[in-house]
Amino acid sequence: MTASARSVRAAEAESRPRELSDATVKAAGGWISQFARTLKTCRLYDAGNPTVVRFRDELGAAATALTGEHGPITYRFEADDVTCDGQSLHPARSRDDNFAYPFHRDGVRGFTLQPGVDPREVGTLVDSVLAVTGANLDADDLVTLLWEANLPHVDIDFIPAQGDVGGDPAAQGGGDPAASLLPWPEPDPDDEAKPGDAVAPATGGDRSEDWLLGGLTVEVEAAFVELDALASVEVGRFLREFTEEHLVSPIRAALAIATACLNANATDEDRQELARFLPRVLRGALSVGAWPEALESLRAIRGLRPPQWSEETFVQELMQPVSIARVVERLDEQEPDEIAAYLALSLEVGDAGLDWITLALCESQRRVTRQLLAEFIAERCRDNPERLAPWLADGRWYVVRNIVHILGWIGGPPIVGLLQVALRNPDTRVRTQVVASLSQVELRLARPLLIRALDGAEPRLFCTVLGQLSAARDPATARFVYAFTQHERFAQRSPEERRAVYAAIASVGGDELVPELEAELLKGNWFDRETEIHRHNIARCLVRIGTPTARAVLERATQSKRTPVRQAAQMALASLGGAA
Amino acid sequence: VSDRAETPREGESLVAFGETLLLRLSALTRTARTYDVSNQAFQRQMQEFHGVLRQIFEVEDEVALVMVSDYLYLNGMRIKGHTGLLGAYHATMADFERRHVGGLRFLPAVEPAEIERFFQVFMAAEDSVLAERLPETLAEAAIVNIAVVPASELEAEDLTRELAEKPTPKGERARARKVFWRAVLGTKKIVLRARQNGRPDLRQAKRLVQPVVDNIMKHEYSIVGLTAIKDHDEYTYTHCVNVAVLSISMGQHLGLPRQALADLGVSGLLHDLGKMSIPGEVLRKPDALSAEEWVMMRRHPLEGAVMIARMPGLSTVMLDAMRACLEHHMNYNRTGYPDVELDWGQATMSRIVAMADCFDAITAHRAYHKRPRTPFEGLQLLLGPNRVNFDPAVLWALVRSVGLYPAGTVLQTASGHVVACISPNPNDVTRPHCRVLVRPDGTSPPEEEPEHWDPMPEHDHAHRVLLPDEHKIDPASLLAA
Repeated sequence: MTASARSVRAAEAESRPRELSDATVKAAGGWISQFARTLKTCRLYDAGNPTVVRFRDELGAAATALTGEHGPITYRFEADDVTCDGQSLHPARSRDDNFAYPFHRDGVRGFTLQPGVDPREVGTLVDSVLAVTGANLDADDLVTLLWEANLPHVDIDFIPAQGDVGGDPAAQGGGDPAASLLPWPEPDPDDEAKPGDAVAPATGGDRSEDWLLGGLTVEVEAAFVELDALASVEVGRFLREFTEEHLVSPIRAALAIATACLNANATDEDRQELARFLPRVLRGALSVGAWPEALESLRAIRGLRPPQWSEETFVQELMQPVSIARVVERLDEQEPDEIAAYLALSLEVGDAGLDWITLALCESQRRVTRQLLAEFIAERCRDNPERLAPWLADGRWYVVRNIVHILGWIGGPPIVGLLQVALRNPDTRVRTQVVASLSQVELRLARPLLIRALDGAEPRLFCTVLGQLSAARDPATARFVYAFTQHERFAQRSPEERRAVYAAIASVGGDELVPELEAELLKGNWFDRETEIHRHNIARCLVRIGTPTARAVLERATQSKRTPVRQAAQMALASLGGAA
Repeated sequence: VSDRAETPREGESLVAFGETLLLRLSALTRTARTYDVSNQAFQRQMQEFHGVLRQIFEVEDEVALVMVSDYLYLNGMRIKGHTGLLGAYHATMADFERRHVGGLRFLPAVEPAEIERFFQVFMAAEDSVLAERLPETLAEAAIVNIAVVPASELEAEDLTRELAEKPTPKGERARARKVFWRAVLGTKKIVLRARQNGRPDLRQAKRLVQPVVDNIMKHEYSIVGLTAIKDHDEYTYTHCVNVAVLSISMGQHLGLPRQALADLGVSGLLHDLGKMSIPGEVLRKPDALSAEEWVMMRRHPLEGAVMIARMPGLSTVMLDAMRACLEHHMNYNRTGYPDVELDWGQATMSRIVAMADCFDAITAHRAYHKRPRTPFEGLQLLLGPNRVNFDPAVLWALVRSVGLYPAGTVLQTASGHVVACISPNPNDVTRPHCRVLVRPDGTSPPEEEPEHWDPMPEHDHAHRVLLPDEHKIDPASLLAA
């Protein structure tokens, strides 16, 4: 707006008799500024942000207070200003900072806040303005949003929708643009009844454009009486049907209508048009978690084979983080049967469906969801666990851990190589899971990996691995484990680790290790307390190995002149007796 | 501004001039919207317009075309909006409203060059910011023989507000006319845009039906009466609006919620979009259609549904409209078309739209009828053997909406009056709002002071419905007035 126009407006405002007091206009201005601030805050932060919540609450309360104190307040919207009683309240600071613009653009010329306005109504007003100032290319305009909101204490003054016809290149010579464009019926003046024409009675049995008609009845009144008598029943039935129809989700309805259209003698051209519509249904179904509808849409699209449809692009869309987040959000609130429908859809997607559910598994926050997805992945990859190999290189530890977990469910020799890869993962949590999964592999195959897992393992994992290694006797493993006892820092290991080592020696060792254990039993001096504990543990190992050779070593030790050796052997043998 | 007392001759000439001027002005603005003022098409229209101005200047000192309270006046004489003029009437009013002007004043010295400059400025003022500066811009462009009359001057007596606040039948009818014709013009825009873009503008359609819903929710049924006008110049669009209005009214009688009424209105407005794909010669064919032509005709529901499928989103209103397009000829007893080869029933909203469509189509003034069926004959047809095609609840709602004697019906009452039904009475379907045409003594109320029954008094009742050949009255003109 030009400066001259502003001055004209100001002059007009001054010359006009004022209806509201200065205090009222000032208060109205304060509220509109608060409204503008609230909008800005809402655009900056999430809806749940405490500041946003507070601003909105305060704006609603302020509207109630304003109208309670000053009565109805009417705001007028111009292209670049909000006025009240002709006074400028919130002129635009720039093109981008123009509070009045969205109102004026959409045809809202003013609104009146009536006393009793509810904070919820103000909230709806705020939401509506936010909706039309975001990315809403195809959404409703502000007038429609506010009309639909039907706010009882906010009267909206808007200009009617434009009802002109413009920009019609086909119109020639200033004639009726519609005439040249539309094949719709135009009256033929020659066929119209002239005042003097003989009037042919309009009897039934002929057509009326697109309706084929039957005969007449004369008794309209009687027919209506009959209808009226049944009206309460019929209207009730009609409303029930209406309600039931509108309980169906839009996605289901869209799919059903599209299917009906396809069955209505659709031509190839129609089918191509509907093939352009169905991907929208598919995307809509995916966004709301309507998996059966998505499955049906996908099958329908494939049946139509539209040229513009690309499976590759569709799969890429599915894999987008934002899509995955939405899918997971839905899955995490769905029941197991709904998740099963999702899994069925993933099968329809094809091989990429496996990656899709794996991504969902990785992001899911709910145990039940993860369990169902993982079981499904395991089942799908049972014959080909190699399919999961790419996921083992994922940078996210929890993704790899999940995959290792699934590999454990699959079990068997084929997963050993994959677990070997996973064992290189720097994250302990992954390696711990690898060890757990190795329990599902034959020990003979798992042993090399378990032994490798001991390298640098933290105490808990160290104990777990040794526990697993203890499942069967193995001379090589026994020597490997025994070697831990010979390490100079063995005594500095935690008691749990040391206990695990002795237990493992007892479990996997045999006669081949007895000479070394005898030497350990006998060595040491009088003053080394740690040696005594070690001696007792070695004696217990020999007892648990339990072979005649081991037993013979202990028997000999009971005859030792050195009291600690003798006591260790005697106690070990006694424990055997006690156990017996 | 009031109806000026004129000698009959002066008044008659002004009325005739008013109609011509309005048609020319409307054609000129329409051309200016498409063409530059230097274009031959515009120049031709401008010469025609200037010619009319010159004719008026021969008998008048100035030409003042102003809009007051839903009517246009030429030098104080009201221009009556008969059916052939309604398009131009309401387009001009809409043009004035958008530019915040109450009217235009032309002085005798006006020349084509000045008219040309004026239209350049006037058309640009469609932008509301420029509209505010229109008087200043005209002065800057040295336009001295054409002036805009500010709307505020004409609202000095606050006529519009008075009408809005007082629910008098007259005010209600004025509001209804405004809403109805805006909807017709808006529908024209939607249909033409759909033709150009391949899909209708849902936002615009929603905006058009909202005031209709508001009217009907306030139990103002005058707008239902306007559906009987059957303007054949704008058949395409009035039919769409009629179906929307009738559907909304029927939905309200059935107890549908406000939002559903709006969605229903949109469905009604868009239900026949598929006809854009049917050749005009088939649609206009005066004889019975051949089998091949029926195949073509039977495709329009699907064509319409496909066209709506091109609209973005998957909103409820869009799906309702798509379904109404597809199903509005299916019939409640599944005897219609298209056959979708499924266990598929007509949706509730589609049943309403189908009913409204059928009622409006069979009472339309079409080329293949020697004379149009009256709305009463339309009801006779629907309540006869055809009733099995429709949901009984919906058929009931139709009669509740239009009354037993729908607008446009001319009937003789028991008291001997001949009356034209103007709008339905929601409280009693047998007693519509009427305009008295002939009193029992054979006299007629003067045209300037029409006698209205709002509604027909309780002591009277319909005695006999008159067929068109029993009277020489054009009910549409009465409805449009």
